[in-house]
Amino acid sequence: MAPNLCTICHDYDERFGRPASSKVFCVGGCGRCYHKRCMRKVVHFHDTGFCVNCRQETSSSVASGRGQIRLETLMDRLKRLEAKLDAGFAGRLPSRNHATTSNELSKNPPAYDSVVKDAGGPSKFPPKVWTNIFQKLNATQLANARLVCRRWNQIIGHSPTLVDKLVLNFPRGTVLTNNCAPIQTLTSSTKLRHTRATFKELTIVGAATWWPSIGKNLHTLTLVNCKVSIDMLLEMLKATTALKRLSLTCGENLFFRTLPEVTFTMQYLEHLTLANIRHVEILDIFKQICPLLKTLKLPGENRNDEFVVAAIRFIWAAQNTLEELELAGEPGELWDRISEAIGMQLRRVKVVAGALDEMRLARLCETFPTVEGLMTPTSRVADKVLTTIGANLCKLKYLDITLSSSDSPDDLSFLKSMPELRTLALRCAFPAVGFGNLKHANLESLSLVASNRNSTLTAPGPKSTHAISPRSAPPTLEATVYSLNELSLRSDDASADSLVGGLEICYFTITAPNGAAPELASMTFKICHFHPPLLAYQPYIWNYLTIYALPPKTALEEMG
Amino acid sequence: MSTIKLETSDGVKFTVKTQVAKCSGTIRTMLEDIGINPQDGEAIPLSNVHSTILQKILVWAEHHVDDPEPPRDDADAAKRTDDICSWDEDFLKVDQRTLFDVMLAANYLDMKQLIAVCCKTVANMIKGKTADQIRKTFNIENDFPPGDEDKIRLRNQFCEERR
Repeated sequence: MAPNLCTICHDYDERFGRPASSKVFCVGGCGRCYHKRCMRKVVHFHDTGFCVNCRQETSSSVASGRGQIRLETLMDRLKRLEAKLDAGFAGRLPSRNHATTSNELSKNPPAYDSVVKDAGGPSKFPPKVWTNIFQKLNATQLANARLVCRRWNQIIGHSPTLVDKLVLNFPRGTVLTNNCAPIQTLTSSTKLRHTRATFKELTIVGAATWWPSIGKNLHTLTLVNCKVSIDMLLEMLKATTALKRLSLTCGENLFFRTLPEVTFTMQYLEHLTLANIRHVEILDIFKQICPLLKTLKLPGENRNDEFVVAAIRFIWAAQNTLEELELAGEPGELWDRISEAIGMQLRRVKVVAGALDEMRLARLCETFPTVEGLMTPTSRVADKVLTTIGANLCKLKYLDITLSSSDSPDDLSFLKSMPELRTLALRCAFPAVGFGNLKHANLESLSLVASNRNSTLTAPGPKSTHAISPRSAPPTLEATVYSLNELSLRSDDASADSLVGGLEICYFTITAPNGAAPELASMTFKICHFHPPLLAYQPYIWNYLTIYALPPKTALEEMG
Repeated sequence: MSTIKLETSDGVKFTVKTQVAKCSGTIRTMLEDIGINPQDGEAIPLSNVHSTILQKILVWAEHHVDDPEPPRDDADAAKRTDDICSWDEDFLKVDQRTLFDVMLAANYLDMKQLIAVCCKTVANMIKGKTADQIRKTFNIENDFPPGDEDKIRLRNQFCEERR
């Protein structure tokens, strides 16, 4: 056989001046060779490096003669093959030895060193393991990891959860036109299908040329204080057909020329946040766009009657699908109207900025017995009302509320009416903390916050640090919990340097039903006063979770 | 206490407490679902694990055998890498090859907690390094065709974390 004649195409030449290395020789040493471009037609050669004759003859006496010269090419190919196998059978790694061509095979059993030499470094990890590792990195580190090698780049680019972390954004103040420099860079460089985008303080002038190719992959879009006209925004949204979450902080920057006509709907949009609305018309526009909304958040101030009317219209229009609502507590009329939508299956209610009074809260809970999460950190309620709320909401799992300071319950008896509760964040003005003999089966996270700053009832003056009313008997906290794994006790009193601020608990015990300490994953104490110092007691505390606190002045001095 | 036998890729047999062996999801499945009877005295073959590595893993399993079930997955806990307990930290102070082999074996044996702690360790090795330093650390070859790396670098400026 003439040397260097391709076995497949019987062609001699190296086309277009390609280097000689584009031909691969049979490792068996018979002298047959293949163009790289032809090689893939012969599966056994492509995979093993042997032509059909040599393959049958032997597979172990490879590392000799002329084959030796080509060994490197072969090893390359084997590596590729193994990578393929790894990808195919993540978790079920093929035995490493089958690929070995050196005489390591003859040793029995192979020494560990020879095995690890072959096992190689991190290149052998299945993608699943790498994805797991990359999961721990933040966006900048992840972007950096893409630069390391092709495999890493591929793994990151093909994992939806990792791509999710690479949020598309631009530097603040960028003006995006149809043909600006950042856009040109973005569209000319390698492909990455961003699924999330966050635009902060940008000016969007033109998007028709570049947005469709980016927008069609997005499931989450956040616009914060972007200067954009409503027409442009709607044009952009029209192209983001797969969008699930949209968050708009509008302010004055979202401007109107004319009231646009809506010609499309977003079938997948489930979560919508519209913050700081200046133009009420926006609510009416989005009412038409999102037919299947599950979450509606309308945080922000500047509430006028017009807003209330439009918001009500929106909520009523979406009531068949709406599950989560986040609104300011003011004005209360808004909540009165919401409580009339009896058919609504609300699951989470969050009251941001401003409180909801006891009456309205009770009525809300009566209307929506399906509520699982009630987050209204600033609403003050008495524990009797909480008992009523608990009786109404049999599914309640998350509660964040302020206990009105006029009440000083000896025990948090309202918890008995909330057997399903998982997370409780309770704000209260000192000394309204007492757990009596609480028993709770499901509580996982307990957070007590003493908010002296807000407590108008106990604070004698606005700037006084003597917010704590004199205490007659030490408040006792005692609880029996079955599954608590998070405990947080803190004071929001900012005057940490004052010796009288902070949360004081004089006797505190948490035990599991069998008398052992529950497994606590995290404990937080912020401006809590302990005596003797917490550190000295740590083993004791961790065993029995008992914390004593004496008057704060002594405690702080002792702790140094 | 009942024990079972495990046989590694190099033919070494280990006698292990059943409870310890059940730290491995793979072995647990074999025992519980497939119904391999450990009393038979027949060793379970672990064809992908070398005895040196299995020994190390058994030390880990022995130490963590009484650990409670990990809390439910939440995004915050998954992100953290600074919560490796000091015993694990010492345990994983080994050369890179051993660390990677432990990780591969843990993956094969389906030991979630051990995988998690290994992942955290490796992630900490990646953090704060440039691409070049990462390549050096893990002995990875830069196999990008010329120009491709720059393209990704250009693209990266649009997905950095900004405050």
